[in-house]
Amino acid sequence: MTPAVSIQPLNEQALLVQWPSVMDLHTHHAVMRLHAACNQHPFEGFVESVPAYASLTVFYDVWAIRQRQRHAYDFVCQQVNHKLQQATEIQLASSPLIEIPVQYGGPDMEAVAAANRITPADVIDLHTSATYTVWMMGFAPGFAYMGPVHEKLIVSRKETPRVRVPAGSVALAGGQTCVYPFEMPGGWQIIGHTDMKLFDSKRATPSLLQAGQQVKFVAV
Amino acid sequence: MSVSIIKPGLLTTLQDAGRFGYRSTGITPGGVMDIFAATMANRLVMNPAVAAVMEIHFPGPELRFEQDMLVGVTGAEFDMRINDHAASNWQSHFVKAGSILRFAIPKKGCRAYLSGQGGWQADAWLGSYSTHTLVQEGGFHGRPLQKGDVVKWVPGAITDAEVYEASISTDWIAQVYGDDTIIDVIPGPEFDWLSKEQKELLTYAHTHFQVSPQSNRMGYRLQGLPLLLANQQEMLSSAVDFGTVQLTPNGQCIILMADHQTTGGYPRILSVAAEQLPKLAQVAPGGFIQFRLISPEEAEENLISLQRLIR
Repeated sequence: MTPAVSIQPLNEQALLVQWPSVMDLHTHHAVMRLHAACNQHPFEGFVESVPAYASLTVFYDVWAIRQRQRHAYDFVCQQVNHKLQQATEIQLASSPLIEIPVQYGGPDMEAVAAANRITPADVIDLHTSATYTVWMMGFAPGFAYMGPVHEKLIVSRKETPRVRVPAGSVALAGGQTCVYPFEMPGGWQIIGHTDMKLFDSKRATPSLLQAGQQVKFVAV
Repeated sequence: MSVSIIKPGLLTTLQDAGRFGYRSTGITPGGVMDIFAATMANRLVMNPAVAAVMEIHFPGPELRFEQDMLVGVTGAEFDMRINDHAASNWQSHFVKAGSILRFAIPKKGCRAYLSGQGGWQADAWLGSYSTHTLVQEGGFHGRPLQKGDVVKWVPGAITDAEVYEASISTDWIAQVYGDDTIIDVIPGPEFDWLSKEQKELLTYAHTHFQVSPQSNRMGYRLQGLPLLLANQQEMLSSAVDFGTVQLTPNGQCIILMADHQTTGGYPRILSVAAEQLPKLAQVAPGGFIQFRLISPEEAEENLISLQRLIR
């Protein structure tokens, strides 16, 4: 069964594999399988791949590939098509559940509750009762886009992003939830705080989270 | 062996070619804005290509050399002076102990590179000396240089430093930078979101975009005729790269530069040809550029031509 994907350049050093643009687990698993296929047995010249909601971008070393191939892009297309076939056989390893302790009650808690006509206690209840999938990482080191959230927790981003969001802020926007790993500007609605370090540059693997992991929030 | 920072300059950081392999956890490669000038700065003093260089903006830093040292300077024409004597760009210079090095006038370009023989001593993080200012790792303690800093270096292989001379070929410099403001681009994944007329206008020779003052190592905000999409589609975030041209909702473009975020949700209408990134990196705020559309095949060939000079 051929996956319904398109392949095109992002630029001359990166190839974009694009699935139909939806945010769902079926697409996510297809992306993660190809990501695994690319990383388990990397083709010559492979640098890295970046999973997103409905795409995987494959970065490659043009110079290295051109030592033996006439066209780097054509070669990488061939390799990626091959990986797409291999990906259908891959069983994604299930990673251990990560629990993030949260002190609920951030600056936007009341607004989020009011917007969806529930109470802050309901917000906490709904936020802690689901297990979230990390769809993708981006925006900042260690920043995980997680979801899906309960429909009563769906809120839009703030009209005016904050210039400074404290590190450890737990937030909601667009049907997803996140934790800010650093103090930085941010437009998501803050409903709590965690002391857990999502990103520690001194760790061998600095980021606690990566795409595909399962996460739960625990009220403390 | 060290230099002292008397004045830090606007933004002076230690960089190398960047840290690759970590985009999928949101860690951008970073690294020098102009890979050609930075590589040539190292080559001038026979450093390995991976040695850390100083990336300098204008106003540049003022350095005092505590020992005799061989340096290389490349990139923007900032009228470098050693003890107030003019020191030519794209050349090596032997600097005697006690000398003051500074940059007097921003004549042309945006980033200059200063190499030290043997390489500046820098912190490595995830295999690279590049400065990651958000995480505060790499380079000089993860931050730009400040007044009073002491940057160390370890002597390199050159033993006859006092009489050593090296310079970079003017042909190479002409090949990389040219003498116009045309930047080659290839279509981005969302290029077809533009109308036929918008595509033509975007890549028309007389359509100029100005690099606004709000431009920096993260991105160049362009000002020009607005390109408003008939269909304001939402785009799911996806990977971006150095040179990705994003179209923002107000119709203006941003060209992502070395310190870009790893993913973005704005349509990627173009990608600057990688071979042209050094040229683009030398366009200062206030400067104008035009886009010229080339094929991805041509972009790959041009990249190979550039890499023949730097690899």
